[in-house]
Amino acid sequence: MTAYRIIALMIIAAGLTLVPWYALQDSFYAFKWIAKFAGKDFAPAIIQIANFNKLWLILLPALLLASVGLYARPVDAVRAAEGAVRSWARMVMLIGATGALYVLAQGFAIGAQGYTFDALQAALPAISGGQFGMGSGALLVGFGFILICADGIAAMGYFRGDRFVASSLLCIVVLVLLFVFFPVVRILYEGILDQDRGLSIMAFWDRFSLRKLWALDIACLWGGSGCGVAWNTLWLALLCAAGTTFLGLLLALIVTRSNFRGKKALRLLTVLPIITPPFVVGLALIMLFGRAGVVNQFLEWAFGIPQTRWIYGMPGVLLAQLFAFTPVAFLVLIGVVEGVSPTLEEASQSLHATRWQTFRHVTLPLMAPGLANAFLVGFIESIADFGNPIVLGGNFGVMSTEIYFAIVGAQLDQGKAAVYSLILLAFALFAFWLQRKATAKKSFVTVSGKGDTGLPSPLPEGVRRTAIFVGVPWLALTVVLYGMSMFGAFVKVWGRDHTLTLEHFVKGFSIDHGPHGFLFTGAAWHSLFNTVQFSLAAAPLTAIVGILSAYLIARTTFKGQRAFEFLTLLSFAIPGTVIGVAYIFAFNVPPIELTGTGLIIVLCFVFRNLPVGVRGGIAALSQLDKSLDEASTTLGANGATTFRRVLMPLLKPAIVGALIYGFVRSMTTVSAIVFLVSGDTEVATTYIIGRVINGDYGVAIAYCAVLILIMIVAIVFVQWLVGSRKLGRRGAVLAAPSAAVAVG
Amino acid sequence: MLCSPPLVLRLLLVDELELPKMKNTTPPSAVSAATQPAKGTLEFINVVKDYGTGEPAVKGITFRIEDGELVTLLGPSGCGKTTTLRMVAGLEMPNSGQILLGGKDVTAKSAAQRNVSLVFQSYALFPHMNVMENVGYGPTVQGMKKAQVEAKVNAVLKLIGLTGFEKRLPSELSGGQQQRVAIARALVLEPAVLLFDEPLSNLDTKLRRHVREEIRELQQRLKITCVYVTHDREEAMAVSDHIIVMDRGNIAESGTANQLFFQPRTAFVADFLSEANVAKGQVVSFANGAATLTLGDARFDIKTDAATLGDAKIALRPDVFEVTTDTGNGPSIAGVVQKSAFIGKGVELVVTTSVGDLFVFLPKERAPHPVGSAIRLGFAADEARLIV
Repeated sequence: MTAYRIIALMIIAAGLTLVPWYALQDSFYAFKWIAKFAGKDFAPAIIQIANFNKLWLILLPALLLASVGLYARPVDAVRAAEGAVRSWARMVMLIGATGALYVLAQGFAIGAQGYTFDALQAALPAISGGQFGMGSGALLVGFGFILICADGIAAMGYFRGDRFVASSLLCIVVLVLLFVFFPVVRILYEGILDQDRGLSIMAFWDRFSLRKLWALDIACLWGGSGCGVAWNTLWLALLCAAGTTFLGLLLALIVTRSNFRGKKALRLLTVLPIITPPFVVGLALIMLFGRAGVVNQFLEWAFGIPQTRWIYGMPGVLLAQLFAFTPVAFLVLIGVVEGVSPTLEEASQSLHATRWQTFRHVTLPLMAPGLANAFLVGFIESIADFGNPIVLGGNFGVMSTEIYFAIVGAQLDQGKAAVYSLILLAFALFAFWLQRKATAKKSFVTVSGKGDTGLPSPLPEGVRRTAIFVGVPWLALTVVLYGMSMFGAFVKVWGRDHTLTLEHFVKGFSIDHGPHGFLFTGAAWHSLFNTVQFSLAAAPLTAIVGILSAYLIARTTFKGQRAFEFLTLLSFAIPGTVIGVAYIFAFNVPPIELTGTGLIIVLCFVFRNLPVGVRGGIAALSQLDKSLDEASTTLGANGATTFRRVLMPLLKPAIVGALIYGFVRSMTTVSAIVFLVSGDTEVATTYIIGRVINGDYGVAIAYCAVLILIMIVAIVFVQWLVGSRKLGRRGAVLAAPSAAVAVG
Repeated sequence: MLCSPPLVLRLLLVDELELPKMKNTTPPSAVSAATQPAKGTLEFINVVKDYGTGEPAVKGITFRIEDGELVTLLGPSGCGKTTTLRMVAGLEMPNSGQILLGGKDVTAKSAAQRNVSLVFQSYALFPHMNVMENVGYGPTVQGMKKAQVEAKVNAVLKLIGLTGFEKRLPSELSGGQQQRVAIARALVLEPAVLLFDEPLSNLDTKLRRHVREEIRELQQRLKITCVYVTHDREEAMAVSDHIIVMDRGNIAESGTANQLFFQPRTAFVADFLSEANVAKGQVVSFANGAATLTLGDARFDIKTDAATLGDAKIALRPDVFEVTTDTGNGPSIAGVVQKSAFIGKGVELVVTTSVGDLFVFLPKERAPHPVGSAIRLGFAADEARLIV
């Protein structure tokens, strides 16, 4: 028996006999369960069956014995009859699949009060008592059976008989189905439940057709109220997408096509959206244009113009989104502009086209798919945005904030939250689908790789002027905004008392030296430690799952590969608020009870950031010659060895990129986890939101400054770490490929 | 470069390979099909590879390569030669047909399970491993002890003339050295068949001749079966025992370089190997292994095994012509010079004749002929070939 099979069997055996089958109230790592090993809530499956009437679990040890039996008598490929190996392998596969599915099925079928569906009650033998959420035992057993199932699939000859490919594919598919697909489906289910939790399409329709969502009034186009939330969201997203694309293009043109000084500094702009907590821009705008803001105070002082509240509402949200997402569009478009082959422009000019004609008829059409991509990315960013509308929205509601209030507000209407989420998800998926279509056709922008030696032609005068006169002030404003927000952390009360002070930092981050050593007495420490801890846990998981998925997509071939790719990238399109809602619906009840734990936050981070890891991995793999894998294979290495010894070392920059990105994105996520945190698991972003809602801007801003600092340190540190072990010509690439900027 | 004593080969590489041959002194080609073939014998039986994108890449080919031979798969790009090579390596699986290695069916075996090594066109050296680690990769992943691996690698590096380069990274080696590392890495596993995928294409012209001589010499010394893919006919003729010429997924013809060059049977091979002119002529009579042909106003006899009376295709290599004024001495054909160029080693002409444009190479001439001038081209009758 190979090591793989022994390990799989051992995992199942351990899951059945050594660790608690059900989820524990406190942490597994508190190890209290060892002391109460045979107790009702702590016992492993085997004792649950013997002592606590959990008879339905008996199938699992039975399946374990069956697989041991199969493995003990493998078919001799040389002497066996035609097809005997295959039917043996099929048995292995079936036993594995049955085991894994049964673990899940029994969890869903039997809840705290016995059978969860009446139909089961009637059809199956009566059981006494119920069960709660599954725990570490169930996890191990399910995992072990998945390994056995993959072994069977590989032995049947699929995936070229490679167990590594089969098992990693199966594990990732199960994970993604469980933590992306299932929660989303769960929202749908919640949406069609009526008050009495019966299924009803009418309930869905009632929530869907609310006037609050769809009321239409032409006045909203210029900021009037009275429009439905759905229209608000769409209109805001269109404006935001158009604005960010326009500004992003101007900035990209300045960087690539002008002799503007400080181009290098401009590129730093691309890092901003990654490290900025989502509401920094909103806060800074309030400080500038809010009622107590600098601009308003100045206007009143100088011209006697009364202070207004215009910033709270559609204009403010739009402005904040433009500031927040223009760097994203810039990031997308800089690659597009650089991708336009200078040779083509030179060809155009040598055919006597003027600069403007060249720009209009050659450059712009070549960039069109890229512009479409940037537009759709801006659109997706805007509809998913939660931080800016919550800070600046006022009475101007968008879908993401309405979902939030449906859950946390006085109304607490799960059905409504579900239907709203579905509508928002539909918008996002539609835009995502359009975006994929737009980027699929971009082939003529790509650089051929053959010496493309021409110089990019200078911009037409009009375009150049627009770029400079719009782009540069915009940049200046961005700098002012960020500077302002940082400044706000050091004054007593912004707008009223501008005495310089460190009191906000002291309030948040004071450390006292007492008799018991250092005490972190600041109010923010708890949430900061949580954030760092969760992000550190999530980053490596994101990197592993992401790179492994990328390997499966780019380096192996199997049926359904495109579906698999879509599944791993799907969570990119799901707005954070929707994921958050989906997670509470899905993981608040057995069999997978995770709400209130740190685990649910870590899982949320991992699967939210997964698409970035996958895309980064695919991009990095496409730079590695496929013959490297083949060389390794012909030299006798299997998939796992090739992955570990050849690809992993060469993918190091991509892995590091995924690590950094996973860490930083987790630190700044708010929308997805705002519902998932509990008192114990509060994180930095939710803490800051709390301060903002209380009007305590000083601490909020100070906290943001600390977060940004931590993230810069993390990025620089990891870059330095890889930088010192660079590989020949392959420099460290921070894997944030163009469209992979994730959605707020 | 490859100047190590045969002792090393005997000790380290050839011990297994040599055994069957020492017992069996008959040349490989004489081994009858009934006995178990030696381990380097490679057979393709009706092998088809279809990627499902229109035409199949390989349309049912059958061939046999004897133990210890170097056989070249030759053809233009897209003819299926690389696909065929990759099927030998196990990197592509055929849709139907059988692949036999040493008489055993390996059709369903994966690349890792076949005793075959491939030298990649791009060399595919692992950029993060030094020469020692690259060459030792195969034995290491197959679980050999470290000391053994090192001994093996050192022997192969000595054989290939790279002793002293063990600690270098691939990026610190020249193109020729990189290639030798790639060959060493393939050889260290003592494969039954060694595969080369266009091994010279990344080297500059001067090095090519040198490296191809090295490869041939190594192959002769190790008596290892090699399959070699190239689209360069000169390279193919220089290194091979046999050449298999492929055309659009089929085998056009196979044989020795000499046979294919001088006695092609198909227009494709005549054109591809010797750039021969294929002109339309007539078979006037055929009896007792000799045929009388007419080509334009020329009439001549050739030796041939088979011919059908009437229209026929006749191949004439560019170098069989000479400019003549004499109509009585052998066949000749009249024409007008259409293009003319002096290329150093001779003069190339395109001559319009009654049987179409003929491409002519005149090695002895030193100046181009004036365009438009009328000339008469004489040729040796026994250089003309009837083709299908």
